[in-house]
Amino acid sequence: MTPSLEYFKLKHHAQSARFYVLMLINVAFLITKTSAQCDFQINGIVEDAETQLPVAYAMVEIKALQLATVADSTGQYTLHGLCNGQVIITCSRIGFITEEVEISIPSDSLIRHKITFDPTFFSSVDIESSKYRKEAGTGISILDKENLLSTKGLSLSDQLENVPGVYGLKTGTGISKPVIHGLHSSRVLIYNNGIRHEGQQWGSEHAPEIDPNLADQISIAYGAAGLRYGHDVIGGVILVEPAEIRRIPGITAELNTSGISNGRGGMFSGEVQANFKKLKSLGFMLQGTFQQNGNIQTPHQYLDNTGNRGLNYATGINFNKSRFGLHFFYSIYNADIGIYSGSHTGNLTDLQHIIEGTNLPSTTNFSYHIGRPKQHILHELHKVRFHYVTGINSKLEILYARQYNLREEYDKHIPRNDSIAGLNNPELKLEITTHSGDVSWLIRRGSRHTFQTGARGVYQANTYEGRFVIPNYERFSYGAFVLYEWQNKYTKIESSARYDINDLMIYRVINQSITNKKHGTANFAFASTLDHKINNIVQVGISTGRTWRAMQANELYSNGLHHGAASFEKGDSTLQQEISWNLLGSLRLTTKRLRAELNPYFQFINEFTYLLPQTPPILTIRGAFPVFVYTQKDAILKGTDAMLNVKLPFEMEARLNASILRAKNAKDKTFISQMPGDRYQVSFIKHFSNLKKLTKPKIVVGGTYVNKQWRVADNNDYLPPPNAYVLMQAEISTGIQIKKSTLHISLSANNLLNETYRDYMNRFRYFSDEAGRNFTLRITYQIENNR
Amino acid sequence: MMKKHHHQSALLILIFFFLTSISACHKDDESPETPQETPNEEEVITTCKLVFTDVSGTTIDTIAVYRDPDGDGGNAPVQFDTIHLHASTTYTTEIILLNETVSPADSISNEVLEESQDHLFCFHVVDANVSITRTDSDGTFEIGLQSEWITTTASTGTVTVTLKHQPGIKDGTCDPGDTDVEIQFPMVIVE
Repeated sequence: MTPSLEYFKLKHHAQSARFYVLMLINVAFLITKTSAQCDFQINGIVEDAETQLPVAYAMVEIKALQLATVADSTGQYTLHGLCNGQVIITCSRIGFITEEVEISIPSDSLIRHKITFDPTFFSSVDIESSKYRKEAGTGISILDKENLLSTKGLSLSDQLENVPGVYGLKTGTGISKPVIHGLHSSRVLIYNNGIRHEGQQWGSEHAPEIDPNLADQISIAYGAAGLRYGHDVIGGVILVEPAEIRRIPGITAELNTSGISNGRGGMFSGEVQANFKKLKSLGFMLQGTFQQNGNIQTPHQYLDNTGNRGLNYATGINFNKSRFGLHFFYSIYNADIGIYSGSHTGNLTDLQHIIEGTNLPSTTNFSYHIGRPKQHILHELHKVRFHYVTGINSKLEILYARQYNLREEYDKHIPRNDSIAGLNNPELKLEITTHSGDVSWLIRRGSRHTFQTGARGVYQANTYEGRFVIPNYERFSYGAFVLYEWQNKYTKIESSARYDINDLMIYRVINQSITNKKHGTANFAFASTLDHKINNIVQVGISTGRTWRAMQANELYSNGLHHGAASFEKGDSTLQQEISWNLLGSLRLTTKRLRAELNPYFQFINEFTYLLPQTPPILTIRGAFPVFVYTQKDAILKGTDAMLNVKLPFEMEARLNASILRAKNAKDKTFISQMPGDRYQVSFIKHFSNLKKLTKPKIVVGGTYVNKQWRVADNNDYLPPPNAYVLMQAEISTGIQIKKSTLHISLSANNLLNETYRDYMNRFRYFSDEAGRNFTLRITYQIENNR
Repeated sequence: MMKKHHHQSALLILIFFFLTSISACHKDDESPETPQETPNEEEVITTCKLVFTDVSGTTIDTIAVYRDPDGDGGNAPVQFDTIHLHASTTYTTEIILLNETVSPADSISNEVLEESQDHLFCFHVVDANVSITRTDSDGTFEIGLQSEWITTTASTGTVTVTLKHQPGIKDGTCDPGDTDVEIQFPMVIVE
């Protein structure tokens, strides 16, 4: 060890010596400045170290002499009026690493500055293109890392429930999918880690198969504001973005745990990122989550078979050179979700008995056991991304992904035949495999113009085994888009347009022979967003666009019984595409004490597809069932999302949040069912100043009021919508700084008053109350070690 | 030196995890172009037959059938008989349940008999002058595959035949469980 130490000392001495010499020269230089000859000139050229090509318009400076010039379009420059002696020339250019060279004057030869690309500069372009935008604007809401801390352990949809205009469509306690401005399923796109998520999203009881613990940020683009992501963003798009794999040497680790009292559940999630000094161009990440919950308790009883279990895993590798980057990512999502056994009904009489309360399932105790009925879900993603920097301000990106989605649904009862029962097969098995390829090219001109263009191709295959719900199909989609963005200090304009072709090939067996039918749709879509800052306080914006959606296999061909809803759903193969026109306004006020936001929206949907009750009911061996048929009618959806944040004295803060929606048929002005009721949220936050190692300690107390959704279509429901309800919640949290690591601890309580209530947007509102009081303890531990 | 080893092993572990997972690949074994022949829900009940035998042997035995060969939905039932019985007669009645989506037809009533502790038939009579008694037993409670129907005077009404699936919760009453069959047969009793 001693020799190396000696070496370091020597090196240090050498460096200091050089420093002193330089200082001396400088001092001498200053003293002799007046007397020295000061009419020398130098000529230089700035070149890209990798390509050897000249780099235009680089800044060339001699800081000590306050001399500067800009190289011309061929990369050449001349500096006049130099005195003899040593000078340090700094050469800088946006997108390149700033370089310094020491030159002795006079110098007759051409000075060649070799500058290298700055990979971190393009990573910021990366983030911007994949994370949509860094800041919320018109039509965009953002949940950053800090916002996500207080909802760790919840499902993706539950995490989004505090975002204005976003609701959850639930099936019992374990299944929830996001609803944006009243629209969901195939009208809401989800992008997971830059890839369009492809599962069985058409089904209202199919929750998104995504582990939200991977997310570093979640953004929501409402309506056409997310057109870059697809022509079918009728409701909007949800972007789940993980942190970018680190590019500087060191290790980052994060551990998340949470425990819930209602369901006696636990969640453990960990993520490690590493980049090694010897292999700086390589970055790794590894992430995993395990979650297990038992039976959920309402204020009166345990709900039988409402536990769930999940095991998710992801890994990624990044390889970055100055001009190109290669990224591989793999993730797998595994979940077993118990379905409340009291929700399975044989027929309408059974449902009637449950509604009347005469046939409630026998009281159950707490258990982690997941029996029938249940869902088993697996989602696998393989992803490869390649980017190449095509010029100083342009970048080409190529993306390929394969997704495999498995959904197995187990009915309440095993078959009577023992040999079949012994197999314990699911009564329904759906498999969907998707291959997608994307190419996009981003060009920037100065700080104002951004141009992006791209194309996309998708192949998807869907098969089913067991009970018929939707037929086998293959889908071929192609599309191309252009996007232009202009911005200055006050105004930002974004316009995009796209054209997409969607061919759906349906395979069915009719009279013992395979019949196929093609449903081809193609259309264009466009969107524009304007954001304008009137002054430091007021900001206004408007977003508008036209989007469309091809009919899904279920809307065209579904034909079967829904055991949960005791209803018969029928598709209609003659249905046409749905076209949406939407308009969204935004008004933002920001002062020192107050932040307010008002976002009214209006949406006209041509041929809005929904389930219409039809007579006569269908006769089966289990009795008569009501029939619902997919039907199209023009619809108008309008509403307002509002937010107010006021800073009060004594480090207090008040937050108000309102989401209001009205949905009607455009012609006969009747209400459209299955739309969320008005929601108002209020919360008070008391911040405390940092105390020793405690950072940002706070207490939050809040309430949520959801109004009764009385605006429903007449006579198409077994039960009138449930009453309005108020829920109280509270949270106490703090960060703790321990050397290089951060610990974040919070204890929160939901449904603090143990309110008995039902929600209109829960499909199991016929069968059971919502969950009772729940306490959650969350601990997040982050450590970063740079070396 | 220790630290250097740490780096290398960490790097190896990460590469190992990455390579093993990227090579994992779940696959769909089915091809979309070849859908399964019959959209089978395992053990569909397509057919319910009531076979009436006059105990005295004076009238001809009669059968009432509900038959929906393509199962729930699709086409309407192809046969839905009215029960025709004679007044002041005692019948023994047998219920036969079939799955005719498979060939040969599968007898569901045999499965019901095998799992008789989990099943119960219920009969609900409206306006028809008939009294129905289950005559078979699972050892503790009645089943209803076999029953006795005693008619009195001529009348017109309905009989609803219900099969309740009551795994582990059978208590002899019709309340618990889920409904597997519920058919409201029209009924005519003639002199």
